[in-house]
Amino acid sequence: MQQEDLTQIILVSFMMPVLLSALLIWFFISFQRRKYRYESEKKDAMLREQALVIQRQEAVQAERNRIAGEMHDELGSGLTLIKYLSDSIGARVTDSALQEDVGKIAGYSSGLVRNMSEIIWAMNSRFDNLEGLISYVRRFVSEYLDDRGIEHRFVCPEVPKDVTLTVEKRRNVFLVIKETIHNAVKYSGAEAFRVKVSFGDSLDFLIEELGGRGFDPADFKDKGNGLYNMQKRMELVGGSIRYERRPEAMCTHISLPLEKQPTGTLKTP
Amino acid sequence: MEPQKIKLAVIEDLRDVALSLQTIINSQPDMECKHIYYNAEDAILFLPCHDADIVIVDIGLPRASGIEAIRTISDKCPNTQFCMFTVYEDDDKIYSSLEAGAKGYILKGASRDKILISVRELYEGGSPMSPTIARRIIDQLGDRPHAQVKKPLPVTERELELLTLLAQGLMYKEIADHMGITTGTVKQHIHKIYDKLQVSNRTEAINKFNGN
Amino acid sequence: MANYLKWIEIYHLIMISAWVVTLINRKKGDGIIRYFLVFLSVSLVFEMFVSYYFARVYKDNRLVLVFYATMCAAYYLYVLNEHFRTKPWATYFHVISGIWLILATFFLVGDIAKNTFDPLWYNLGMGLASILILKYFYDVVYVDEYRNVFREPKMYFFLGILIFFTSSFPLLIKIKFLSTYSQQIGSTFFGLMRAFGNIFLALGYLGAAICNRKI
Repeated sequence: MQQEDLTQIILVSFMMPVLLSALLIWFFISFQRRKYRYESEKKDAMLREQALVIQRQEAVQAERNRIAGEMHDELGSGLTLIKYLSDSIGARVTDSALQEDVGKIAGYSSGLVRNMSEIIWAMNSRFDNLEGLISYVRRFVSEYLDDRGIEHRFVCPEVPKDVTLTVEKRRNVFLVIKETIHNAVKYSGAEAFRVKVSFGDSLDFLIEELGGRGFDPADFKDKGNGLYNMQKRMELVGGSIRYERRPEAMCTHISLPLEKQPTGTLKTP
Repeated sequence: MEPQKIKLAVIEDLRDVALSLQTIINSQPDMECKHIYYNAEDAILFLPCHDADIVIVDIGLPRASGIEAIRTISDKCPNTQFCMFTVYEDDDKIYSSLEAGAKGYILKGASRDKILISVRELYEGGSPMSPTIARRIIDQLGDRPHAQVKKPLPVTERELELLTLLAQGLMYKEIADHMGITTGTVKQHIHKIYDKLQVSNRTEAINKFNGN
Repeated sequence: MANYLKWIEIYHLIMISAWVVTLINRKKGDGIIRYFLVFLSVSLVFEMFVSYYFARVYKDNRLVLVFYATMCAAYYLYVLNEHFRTKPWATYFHVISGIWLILATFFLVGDIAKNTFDPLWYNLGMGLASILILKYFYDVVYVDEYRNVFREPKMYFFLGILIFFTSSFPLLIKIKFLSTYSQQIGSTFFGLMRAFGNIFLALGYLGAAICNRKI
């Protein structure tokens, strides 16, 4: 009788831990599974949210592009029409003063179209990089100076790839360079230009005007706020512009700090 | 017998612009422009009957765009070359029209002389290319990490060099010096690249259609 | 003194550590287990002094132990009541726990008067607690919002209780029988089971004490 009881007790003593172990194993496995499910759900939710944010940004960008595109198309064709109409008027009238005025209309509308094509370039995210800016500047310098029959050289080492530049930076730097060359041609009668580009921690343009009186910022003070605007533009994008008079040339230094950025795009955890 | 004239046609919805263009063309002894179409539908219908060497096409037309017009007409008229008439050189639509089969573009703001030079160049098998287009083509070649994976263009090494220089913003003259060829040859190379662009685009479209 | 040192077991040391950790963390703790420090202090006094004193002086500390065990069960039920207080069936659970407490106290007083020992009421209380602990684990896996339960003091606390009760359950059912039957078996196999259960219980306390701080 007592012997049986003892066996029972020992059996129960073994049974209980076995049952408990089974229970604990069940608990740990189920909990781990739950944890895994929870974490993957969390990751999914995060990815979904990221995708949503990107989608929203893209939608905004697309809408902006659409509005800009339509505006440009509309204005562009309108201005073209003005140009062609004034050309045909110019061909018909004999009064030379009138001809000149009509020619001005055509010139202004062409200028506006050119400005707008610069805006299109700035807005296009395809050119949000250093290569885009350099090639655009180079192209502008060549065309602008060729049209006016001024000698020029553009010296540029290999352009680093995949350096992103925002719309503001590209646009402001381009406009400052354009303005600098425009001023030099208009006011100082430069005979030749040398544009040197270098890359390091910053993007540096050195614009040298050879011959001519040389552009003097001092006597430019009272000629409107063009200089001030250029200074302002460079400050806006964290860059700088300064002038240096050398014996052989008047130099303008335009500098824009470059951020070193990882080449990868969006990182998902 | 007088020498063969370059036969042109214009597709442009703005009447005054189209007429000015016709006047400019007809003022030249070696060119003639008999037909103006004010929309893409008319051009698609009638152009194949009026044999033209070069068609100047405005991109933004009412209803069907100039690009669609090119796509449709170029099948029926293999000997006709299409030249886009555009306000902006960096317009994304120019690239699409080149893929559709256009071989050049003329800026609307260009002077009378430049327009005529462009037309003659195109007739002689030369095409212009802006740095933007050059960059897009290089992007498509797939040597960049963010390039869209498309069927790569079968460009030669020489053509690639040319594209690279163009993308850097060099002028045709500078490129010609750099590569030891004439400006005319540069433009002929570009013309060939456009051919490849169109062929590759068409192959891709057919592949897509066949579910390949 | 040597006698007393022999009295000290490993689980006592673990409990002391748990008490020390709880004492250090008492200000930082976000109070997940209420009155845990008080409970540990009382437990230590009983385990290390009162029951030793009774064993030495009266040669029998069973009554002290059963009183202490009942008190523990009552505290466990209190913690569980706290934990499940938002459940719809919380009221029933309160009432059942209350009835249990009254009856357990009543019979305990009776036992003391008769100088006998019946672990029935203790087992009933612990059984109730065990069922609720199983419910706790079930909730963690299937019902509650996901949380990292391995940082929760209650998890260790409940786990310790569960292991302790499981290993001491047979011992408690047959404790009368054991004390009369074989001193040998009582000191080897069941002694081992008891030590095992106690160590896990103390480890549970320690785990709860370590986790009972702001993360």
